[in-house]
Amino acid sequence: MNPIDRKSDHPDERDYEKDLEQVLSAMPALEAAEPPEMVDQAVLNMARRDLELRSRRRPLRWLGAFATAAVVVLSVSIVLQQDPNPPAGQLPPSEQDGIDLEKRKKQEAYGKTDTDISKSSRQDNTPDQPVETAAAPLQEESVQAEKSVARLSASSAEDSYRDVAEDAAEVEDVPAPEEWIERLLLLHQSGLYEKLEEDLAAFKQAYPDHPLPPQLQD
Amino acid sequence: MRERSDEQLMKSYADGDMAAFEHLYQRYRGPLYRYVLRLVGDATACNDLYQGSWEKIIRARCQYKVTVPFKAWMYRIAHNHVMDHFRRLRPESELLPESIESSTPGPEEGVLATSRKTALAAAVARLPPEQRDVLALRLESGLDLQTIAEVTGVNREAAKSRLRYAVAKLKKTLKE
Repeated sequence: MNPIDRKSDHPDERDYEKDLEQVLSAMPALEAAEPPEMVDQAVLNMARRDLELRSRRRPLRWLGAFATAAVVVLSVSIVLQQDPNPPAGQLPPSEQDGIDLEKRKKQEAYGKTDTDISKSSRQDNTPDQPVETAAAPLQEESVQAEKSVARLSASSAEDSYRDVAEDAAEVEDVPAPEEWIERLLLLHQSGLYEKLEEDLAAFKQAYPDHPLPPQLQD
Repeated sequence: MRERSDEQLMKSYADGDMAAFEHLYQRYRGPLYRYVLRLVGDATACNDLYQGSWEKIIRARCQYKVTVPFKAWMYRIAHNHVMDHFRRLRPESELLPESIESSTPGPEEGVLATSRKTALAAAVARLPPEQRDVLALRLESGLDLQTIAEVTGVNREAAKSRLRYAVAKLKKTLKE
């Protein structure tokens, strides 16, 4: 049997319920008691005003959350795009450009000489032609020789630079001073003085106390 | 057209339907007013507390969950509001029996009946607030004892005990 049901069968419980009914029926009824009209209006106005306030606030609240989310996404993307470590093992652009420029200068110089020669040979009169014609191949040969020397020296300088760059990429270290001096001497022999100056400055920065050969001392 | 439940009306109001609130207010304006009046006795104080209770109900509309019976939720808010008022009052202040509105005695009612009602009203006024509370809820809300216990924040036995004490005191007055 349910304990609650058992309690209601108890004589005390039955008496209590009887007394409760008696008291409740004797209590003054308040059926006539109702809130005044002014109070009714005040409550309804309050309910209406609260609705209006909340509907006005809703778009602003949405906007705030959206703006916060947009700022966070933007900040994260900017941070992720930062690349703190530049790629290693590549020749500095200025050096590569320097080599190309030297090459181009030499080629242009030889090219101009060729043009000038061909122009002058066309402009000259016929009687002078045999002498100039004889001189032209000689000049051409010397020009060709100079070209090939320049090409060789440039290519050897390029090779040496490439080696240095490769070493640097592999080891990620400054080359040994002896090796570096060899490269510098090669540049000196090739006549690439601008490049030589730059590299010499870099060498002196890396090895300020290392002795230099007489050709490199200025 | 089938009438909507209290819970549906409150949910509709929470979603922005003012007409739903007006409907709900019409249902409970009388019972809630009489409950507060039985507790405080004074009409002026009753108007303030009644309006304050509805203000809290309106503000809490977004927190209302449909799974909770609206009637119990509403009376809980009103109960807490009135109890806060009693805590702010001085302890010795008592409910005045004359201030409780009662139905005007008809011609068939004798003087004895009138004096009996007045004595009963005075006895109710002398009850401690928590006993008066359960009595008022029993009279006006139509809630069962378990729900009354939940509204007043006590267990079922405590609510029953309060009601029992209140009934015992009032019965004594009736016998006198």
